[in-house]
Amino acid sequence: MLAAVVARHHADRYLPDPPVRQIETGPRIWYPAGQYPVLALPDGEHRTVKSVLNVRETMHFGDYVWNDQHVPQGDTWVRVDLARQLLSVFRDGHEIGSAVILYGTDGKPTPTGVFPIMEKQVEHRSSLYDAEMPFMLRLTGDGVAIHASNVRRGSATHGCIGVPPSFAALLFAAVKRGDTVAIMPPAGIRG
Amino acid sequence: MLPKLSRLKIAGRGRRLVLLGLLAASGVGTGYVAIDRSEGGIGGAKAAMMAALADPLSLFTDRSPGGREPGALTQTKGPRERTLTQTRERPHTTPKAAAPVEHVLASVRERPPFVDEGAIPYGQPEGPITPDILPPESPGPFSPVTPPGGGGVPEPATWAMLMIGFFSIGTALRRRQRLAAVANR
Repeated sequence: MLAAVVARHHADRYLPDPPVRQIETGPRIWYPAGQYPVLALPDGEHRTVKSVLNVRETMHFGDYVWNDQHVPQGDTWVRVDLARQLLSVFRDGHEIGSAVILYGTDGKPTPTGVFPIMEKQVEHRSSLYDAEMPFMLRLTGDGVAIHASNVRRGSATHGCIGVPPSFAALLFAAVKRGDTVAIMPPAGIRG
Repeated sequence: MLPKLSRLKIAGRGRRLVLLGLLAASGVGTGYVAIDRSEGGIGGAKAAMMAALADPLSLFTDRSPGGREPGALTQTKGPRERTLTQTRERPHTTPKAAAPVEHVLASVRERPPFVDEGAIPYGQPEGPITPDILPPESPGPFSPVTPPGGGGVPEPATWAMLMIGFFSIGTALRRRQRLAAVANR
């Protein structure tokens, strides 16, 4: 609870940098019971999807969607789709958030696979690049993380996953340490 | 078993939605996904439903800004001109193509000023030609100035200094040996 309050406080602080365009999410696509589709994870595991946010339009760099109304508490996991440059947050099988992401260049590629969140830091300063990385969710021991970033077309990261700052605050409050983050490989690389 | 739709006091659009939901829930209308509220009409929703049931990833594809081609971005920032740290400002002059490259020895940092000998016509020297090479007017008969471009044989004074140095080194070594022998005794 205290963590959520702290996160909200910092979210307010970081809100002066709003997303380019916050897409209004109205309807949610519910799958009928018994016909739940599954999403494959890189390690072979399959996760059931009960509902998906109904985004009718193409999202641009800096856009995000967040709607966790009427979604029960449950197991939270994050699916990072490098091929589609999208990140989706699932709670109890329901998608509650999605954003356009930045990922690593070919010189410093983002690793693919299934990672637990190792560390959460509201305010983090990268020791490698001497840069502010608010709402950092560390995934690997060598510094790959999900953090707030200026998501613009043509930008990339040094291997991290960059999300818009306000979305990063929401994501930070939604996940806890140990939650699964599945990074799907980018286009052109299969398997 | 099913309630009569006419009894439900709902609008026509909502009635069709309820019908779809009931069909999906009862298993009769397999292949439909219920949408709780649609703003774009039934047609668009139907296409989205079909796509969603066929492949949930198709929804992600629809909302995706597109993939990044392999090799599209090799660095995080745009290209930037790099200069050496010592030379922050680039010289904008380009050297002449025909300019000769001058190599100056490291021991001679400064060159004598260049004298354009082509301006002096041959056979008509103006005044004394080489006054600097000759030693200045010395007060005595003995000139201390060594003539330039000395030969390979050292002067006797140089020999003497060399010999004195060797003798002093030898003396010091012998003296040290003798002192060490006295100390060890």
